[in-house]
Amino acid sequence: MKHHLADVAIALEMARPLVHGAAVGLDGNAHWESPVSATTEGVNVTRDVSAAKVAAADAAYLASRRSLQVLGAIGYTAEHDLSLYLTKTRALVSAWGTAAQHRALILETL
Amino acid sequence: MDFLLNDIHTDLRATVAAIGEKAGGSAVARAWYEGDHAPALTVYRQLAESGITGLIVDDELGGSGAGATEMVVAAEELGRLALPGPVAETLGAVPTALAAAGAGDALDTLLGGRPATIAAASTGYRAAAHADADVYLLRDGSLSTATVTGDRASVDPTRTVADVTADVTLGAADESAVAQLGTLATAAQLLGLGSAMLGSPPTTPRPATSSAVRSARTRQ
Repeated sequence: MKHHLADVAIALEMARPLVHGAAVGLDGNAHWESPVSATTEGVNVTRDVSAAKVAAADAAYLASRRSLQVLGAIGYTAEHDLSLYLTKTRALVSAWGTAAQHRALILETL
Repeated sequence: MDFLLNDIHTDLRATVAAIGEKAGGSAVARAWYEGDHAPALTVYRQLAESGITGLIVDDELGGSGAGATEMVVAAEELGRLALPGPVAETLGAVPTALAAAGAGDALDTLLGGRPATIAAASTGYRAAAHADADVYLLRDGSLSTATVTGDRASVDPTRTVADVTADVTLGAADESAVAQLGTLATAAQLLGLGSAMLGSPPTTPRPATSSAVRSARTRQ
């Protein structure tokens, strides 16, 4: 069980820099040399935003699955707060583009 | 660039967390499930009073003049709260669209605490969480107010989706920019949701990490 939770923690911590990095790129503050030169100044913000969404969605979905495994049937019930998080996670995973759509966008930049 | 949060970000996160905690935490989402939207609308109003719904709006337009970096910090914290309604749209996509279109009155309404949602190509031209929110449609670079024509089932009762039709044209807006802000805010919300499910506290910048990053920069 500990390893499952550690996997979730790793996924979240790997996704967080992508989210913050994409935000910095959107703010126009990114000044590193990107290997992709599809946009000006060597930074492809569209790709970075899509990568952030895919990673964050995967991490949150993993968290929801592991949480349900840990809690068991009580996690399904409306009485437990996990049900609020499960449904919202499932809805947001596909909001503003599914993982497949964002992966396709990333592929276009490679 | 710096991946570490500074004191401003930490204070911002604490402000959002305090608003959520004062509202009752997950009780806000639970109330929405049971048909009571008032607690969530109070949170949106308090977020606006703190300048959080206008983080990506320039000072000249009445916003906070911050940026996407600050917006993701706030959105992640709202993810922890599982705040119902159009969070990513109100913080990211809609203010971007309204500011670009020069829709000052509509932007003022949003900055005054009214949630807003938007249908665009990236959302399949469907508006999410339209209950008690202003609704907009961005199609072919043209932003307009919109009317809901039909609800669709959603796995999340606090974030239903709806078909919309255009009403009054407001101006032009960059579809790509709107989609990027909506997508990024959603990603940040998902991080917050995941962290809440794991039960981990917000990440706090630590000197050891900071030194590691600086060392890596020096070696490059």
